[in-house]
Amino acid sequence: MTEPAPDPIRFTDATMAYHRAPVLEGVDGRVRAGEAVALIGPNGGGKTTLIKAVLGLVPVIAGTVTVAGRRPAEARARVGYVPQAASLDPEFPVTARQVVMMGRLRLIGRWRRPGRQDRAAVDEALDRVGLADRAGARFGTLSGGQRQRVLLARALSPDPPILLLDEPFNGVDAVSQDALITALTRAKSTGTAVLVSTHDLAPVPCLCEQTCLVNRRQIAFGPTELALTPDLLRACYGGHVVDLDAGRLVVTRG
Amino acid sequence: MTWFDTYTHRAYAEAVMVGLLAGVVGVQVVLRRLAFHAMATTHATFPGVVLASILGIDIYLGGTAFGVLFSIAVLALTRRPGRTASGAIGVVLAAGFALGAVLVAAGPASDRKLSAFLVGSIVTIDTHDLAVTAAVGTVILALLAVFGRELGFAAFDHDGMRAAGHPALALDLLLLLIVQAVVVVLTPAVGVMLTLALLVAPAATARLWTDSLRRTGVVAGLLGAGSAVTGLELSRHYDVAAGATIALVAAAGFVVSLLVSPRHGALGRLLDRRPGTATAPA
Repeated sequence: MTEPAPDPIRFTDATMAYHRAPVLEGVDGRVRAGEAVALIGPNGGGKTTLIKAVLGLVPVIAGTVTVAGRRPAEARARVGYVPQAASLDPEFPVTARQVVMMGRLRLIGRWRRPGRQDRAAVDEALDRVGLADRAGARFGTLSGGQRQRVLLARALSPDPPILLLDEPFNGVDAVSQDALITALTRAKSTGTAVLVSTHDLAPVPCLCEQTCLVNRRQIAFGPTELALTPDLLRACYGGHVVDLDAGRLVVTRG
Repeated sequence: MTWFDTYTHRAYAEAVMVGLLAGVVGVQVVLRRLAFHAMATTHATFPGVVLASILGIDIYLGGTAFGVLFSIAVLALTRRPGRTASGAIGVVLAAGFALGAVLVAAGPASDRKLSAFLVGSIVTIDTHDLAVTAAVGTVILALLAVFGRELGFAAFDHDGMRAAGHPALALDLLLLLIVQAVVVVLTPAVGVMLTLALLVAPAATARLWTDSLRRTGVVAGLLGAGSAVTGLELSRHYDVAAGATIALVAAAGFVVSLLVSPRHGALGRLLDRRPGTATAPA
């Protein structure tokens, strides 16, 4: 008998803190292999904190967070992290291909130059986000959505079992949103676990099996159809009106 | 008799080496937005150099000791270069310069010696200086060859680099120590005040002319060496201070490039005013 593989990400009543001040409390749930969890909540509600805790960049002061059964800081090699494209300098002298190659650096090591296998992995990752034809373009000349896709390709290039995405749909056009969803769906189909924070609720029902609502504490963590309800969203967004607009959930400022 | 017996030969050899080294390392300084940190490094180095001179020990050792302490202190304060510690860095900058000035006043050093610390004296470079520059420069270029890709990743996306499991703290410290080493090595030639010009100007100029990280390093190295040699040549021709002329040539290259470089130049901007867009190569 072999032990069952540990959950890709598991939160057990976890509290995360900056400088000992709790930022997000009581997170409890799991991200399973081949599944996506949407992370939803207002700005300052702790979405980025939760992602950084999974990366081992923010301390967990109560409860536990485990990544592939280990402490987060020891599991970084298993995690692909996709930051917000808008947080990066568009003037930086680097091509899309070079950005994706950064994802392979750990595998390449310091004493070897990128080999054929690395270049093939980079090409494949760019192809998976639909940008194979823009590989030589400077990062900053791409649209915001294309930059976001390049960053997803960077995370995909070492083929990690876990993906973390920080607001990938922010300010992204429909074409790029579709490309991101297609690439993430395909990653899930090969067993990758996905945790994705988002303000845009539209992609959530088709992409994410589970939804985690946070606003300084966990409001809900469960199957998307149970968590993504007007009542819970209202609780999460602190009373701002939630409209049900032709099957789409919209959070508005009330 | 060797080629290095002539002081002008030594000066040109030193100019080529320090220009090349400062240009290449300067790319990291510019891309990491460490110019202010580099400036504080120069000021923290200053009292170490003066103290070493008073005590009669190697000024490279004195400058390095003060500079390393400063780099570690900054990293301890920020855990991340270029961020949030600008207040503390500013205090160290002023205090370092003040301490150096007090030491100069207290010690036997003459005004002439003070000026050599501040703006350098490339014509009095000796073979010991040349050997130090060559050795330190070789080590730094080797380190950049090994760690350059990770440092590039860090400059582009520091959080992403940490998240990918690279040793962020060690790499940050490595970069600060490299900058420190360059400042110390440049001090005899161009002085603590003017090292910043060679560290920042060629790299910033190179950024205006190329969109590839590797080419930026090559161009910055060539521009640094070119600025140093041109500045030295002009200073000998017009009999003015070499260090200052080198710094002015490097700065002039940047200003001219700001106006005329194809993709980032002011002239190009006038023709293409859409915000956030750059003219893509055809």
